Amino acid sequence: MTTSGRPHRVEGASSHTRQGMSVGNTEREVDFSAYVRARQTSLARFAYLLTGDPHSAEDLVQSSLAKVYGKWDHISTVESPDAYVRKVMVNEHTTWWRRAWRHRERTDSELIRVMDPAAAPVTGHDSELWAHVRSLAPQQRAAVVLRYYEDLTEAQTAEILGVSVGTVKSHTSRAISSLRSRMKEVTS
Amino acid sequence: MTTPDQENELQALLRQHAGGIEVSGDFAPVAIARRRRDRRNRAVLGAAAAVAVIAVAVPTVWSAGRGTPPVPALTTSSTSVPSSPSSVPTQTPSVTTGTGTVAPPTSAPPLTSAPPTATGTIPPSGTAQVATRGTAYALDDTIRFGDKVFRLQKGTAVETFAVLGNGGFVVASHMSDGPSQSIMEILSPGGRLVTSLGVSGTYAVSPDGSRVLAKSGDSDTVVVYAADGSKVAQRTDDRQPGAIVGDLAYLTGDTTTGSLEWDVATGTSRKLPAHVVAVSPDRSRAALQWFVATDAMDEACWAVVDLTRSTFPKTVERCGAGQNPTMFMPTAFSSRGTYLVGSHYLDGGFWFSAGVVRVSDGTVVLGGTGDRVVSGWTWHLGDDESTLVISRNTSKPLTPAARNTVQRCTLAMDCSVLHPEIGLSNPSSFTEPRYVVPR
Repeated sequence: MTTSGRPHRVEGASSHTRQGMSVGNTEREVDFSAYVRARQTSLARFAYLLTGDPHSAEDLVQSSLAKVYGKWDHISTVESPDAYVRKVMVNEHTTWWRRAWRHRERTDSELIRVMDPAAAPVTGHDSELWAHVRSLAPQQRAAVVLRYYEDLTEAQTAEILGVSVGTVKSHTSRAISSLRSRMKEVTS
Repeated sequence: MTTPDQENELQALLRQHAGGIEVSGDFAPVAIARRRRDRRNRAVLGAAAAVAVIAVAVPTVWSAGRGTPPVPALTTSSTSVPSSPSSVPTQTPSVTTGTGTVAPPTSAPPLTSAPPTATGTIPPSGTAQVATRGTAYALDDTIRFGDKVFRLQKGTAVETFAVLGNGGFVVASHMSDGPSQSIMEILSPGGRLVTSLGVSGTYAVSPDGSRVLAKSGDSDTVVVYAADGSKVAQRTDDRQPGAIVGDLAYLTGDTTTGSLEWDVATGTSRKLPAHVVAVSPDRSRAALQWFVATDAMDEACWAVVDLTRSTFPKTVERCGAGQNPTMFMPTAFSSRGTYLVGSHYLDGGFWFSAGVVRVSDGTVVLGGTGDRVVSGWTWHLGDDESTLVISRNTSKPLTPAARNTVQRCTLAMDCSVLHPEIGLSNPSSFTEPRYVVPR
């Protein structure tokens, strides 16, 4: 599991009052910023696997973190903020799917960059497999990513997706089965 | 390629693609700015909405004062659609599921992965036997009861189904060799498609089979249907279908939203505790199920609450390793509300461990862990509350799942075979069953 604890408060963080902003707000902002900086690569990677493209991933991270910031006073006190943030990201992404009319945010800044995978060359087989992962319905893809990338249990995955453990089992079973049949087609 | 190989390959692929993602900047100030902008936009929209309300209200009041009937304000997102029991759904049978043909009586299905060879025609309406929960089951791409066999589209894999009060069916299925997305449909008693309920969604059926509560995965609307497929009511809601009993639909919500009891006849609603997953047939009790939100997430909890009292007190609660060591998770009440039916938790793979607990005191009366595991895919407790019908995994060892049968078992697990054991193709920990019994 890739979950890590909250980063400690940044040493020397400013607590001066800015114009129009209370001390509480400043501390909240510093705390939130420290968390984001510590976890943003992990969150961006998770978003990329959910969405399949860097621009959507960036939009997803931004919109989700904006929502998280709105509830940071509560989230910062829970034992595992990562689980909460992932839940917000999954819900946000599923909502996109449900609202075909959604106006996609144009993210001019390019905070996410796709580097050449260094580990191994991407083969045609991998491309087919990746294309298939991207073709899965959002909740099914989220289940697969949470189970096989984040290495969560079915109970953890169910909690984040807001579904039953049975639904998680069904999602992953069908995803694996369809991957198997797709790969058979490719290899034959 | 074996399934562990596939899982490893999938995991490696995901890590490889994720590893190529780098962040060159700081998301924090961008997210904070976006949050502030979203709040400003909402405030502007709220003001605009207020102006719009005044713009509508003033002419309405004005015209009401002049004798014109006022237009009722829409104060809820739910919409009731008049039910028309005699209406005939106008949807033409499609080539998805439900394009049924009825076969002559068949003998025991083959002990191979070959599909059944049922053929025939659908008899005129009214002359067919009517399916019941006690007689119906699915085998591969067929639904069977008595001596009838409804053939669904070739290659259909039934995931779950329920028998409706009129003898029709709600079926969730996917194509075994196509997209993995599941579809939900209402079929007529003759096996024809009458209504599509959506994709990748969830549904619940009332105990008398007269109502279906469904939500498509690509929609934010929950819909109640009559057994004939006609739409009874709908409501925009983030919650998920939990249960429906008579005209009361129960929507499952988390701790943020809470659950909801929605009267589809009147449109009224009341808030319920979070995590409602089942409601007793007399509507006096609701079952809740949740996980304790820890990093380990290894504490499953369930409880029963009294719906007749305004504070919804818990009558029984089992939480954590000490009280709920098998991590029982309820999904339904038995016919008279004596038991909760569900599963004990097993992480990984695709078969489940059947479970039954007594509502009054939380005692586990069927299933568990270790040698008490009752492995299977779908099951229900009969109307007598003493007979479990289960599509059972009879493989030894249980994984990879290679054998499947339908059994009728007492709560003491004395079992008899209802439908003969058959082999599963491509045995693995993710193998889907060939038999499915109704909910």
